[in-house]
Amino acid sequence: MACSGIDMLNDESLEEDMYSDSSEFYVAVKPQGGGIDSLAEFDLRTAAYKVEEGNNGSKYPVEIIMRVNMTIKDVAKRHILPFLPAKSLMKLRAVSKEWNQWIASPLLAYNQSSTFQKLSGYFYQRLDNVDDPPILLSLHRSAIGVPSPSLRFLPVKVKVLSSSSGLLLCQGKDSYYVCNPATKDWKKLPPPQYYHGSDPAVALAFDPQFNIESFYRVVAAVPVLDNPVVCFEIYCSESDSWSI
Amino acid sequence: MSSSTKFLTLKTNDKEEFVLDEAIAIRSQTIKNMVEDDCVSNVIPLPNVDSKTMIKVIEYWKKHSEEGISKDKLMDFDKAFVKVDQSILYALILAANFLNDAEMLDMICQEVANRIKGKTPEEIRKEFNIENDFTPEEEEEIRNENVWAFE
Repeated sequence: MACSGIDMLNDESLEEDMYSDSSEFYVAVKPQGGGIDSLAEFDLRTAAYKVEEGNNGSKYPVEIIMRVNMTIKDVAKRHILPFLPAKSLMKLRAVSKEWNQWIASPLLAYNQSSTFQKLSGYFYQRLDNVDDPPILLSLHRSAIGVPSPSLRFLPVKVKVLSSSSGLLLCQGKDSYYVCNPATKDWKKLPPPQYYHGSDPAVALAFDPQFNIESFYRVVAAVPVLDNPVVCFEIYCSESDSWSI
Repeated sequence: MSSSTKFLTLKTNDKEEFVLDEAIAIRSQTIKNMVEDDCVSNVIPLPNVDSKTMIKVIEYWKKHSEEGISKDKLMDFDKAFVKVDQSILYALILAANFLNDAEMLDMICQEVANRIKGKTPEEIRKEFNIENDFTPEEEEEIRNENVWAFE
């Protein structure tokens, strides 16, 4: 007897945009404690629900009732967009105001970087001529790309050394640079304590999952003079410093 | 086989009833919560799932609950499972969202993302029935800010 209150929703009410006319929307439900189940629900506007006193209301919690009324465009916005590459997303900012806002939000950026794990393409650069800028070989031209594949937004000419989950590690004349070619954000790393040589063995490590601050590491293998060993000098973006 | 196997009755919005092993049905977080809250003495109504969609959902749940099934087999199954018309995928997305089965939802959303990733804003609006609420000037501005993405 407890789980019956939700039956009254009919097909017509499913078609309706849940926000457009909440006065017509009438569900006998007692809101259960803690309707907020995850961060992803943050932009749900509060719809007006009427609570019937003494009714044997449905045991579905409010956030589930909300899901009943979600249309494909709402679910698409929340659950499909994180699976799209950056270029598609930037294009889809022109869909509507709501999509524009959502795509520009840091939460989507975080969701997308931990959800979109596919290979997008390759940065390609001739190493015999430092003046040659890198180019991006995209695996899907209309969906995958970056605003400036030649990385001209960086202050100096660079050699691309390593990539990790969408970030690039580059070597300029005197410093390392880490950049996000999709957003053109970049950072010049402080000088390491050891000499890494002109052709360093160095790699970038970035795991966007459970890492909302987007911390990353740069690991360099440094030869020790007159010794058949290498030591590792590691840069941490949290502390913005190198350590052995 | 054991007497402890419990069955749940799920009722779709076209009044079809599905009797399902509880152990399988609780792949749905929504149903799992209801079972844990002890409110399933009755039929569980699924107000936004029709029987055609529910048959697909149960097919997925049963396959993914098979004991000892290999990852490769499941991947092949998933691949074939999503080779259906867009409208069926959208019904499944709404069902998976309501039933709160993140694994199935993600799998289907991944497929839809693959299908739509090259589409233009106009095509996406049509696809998901979204109203363009920009003025022509506003839309122009957004496109100009992201010119590279339209190349």
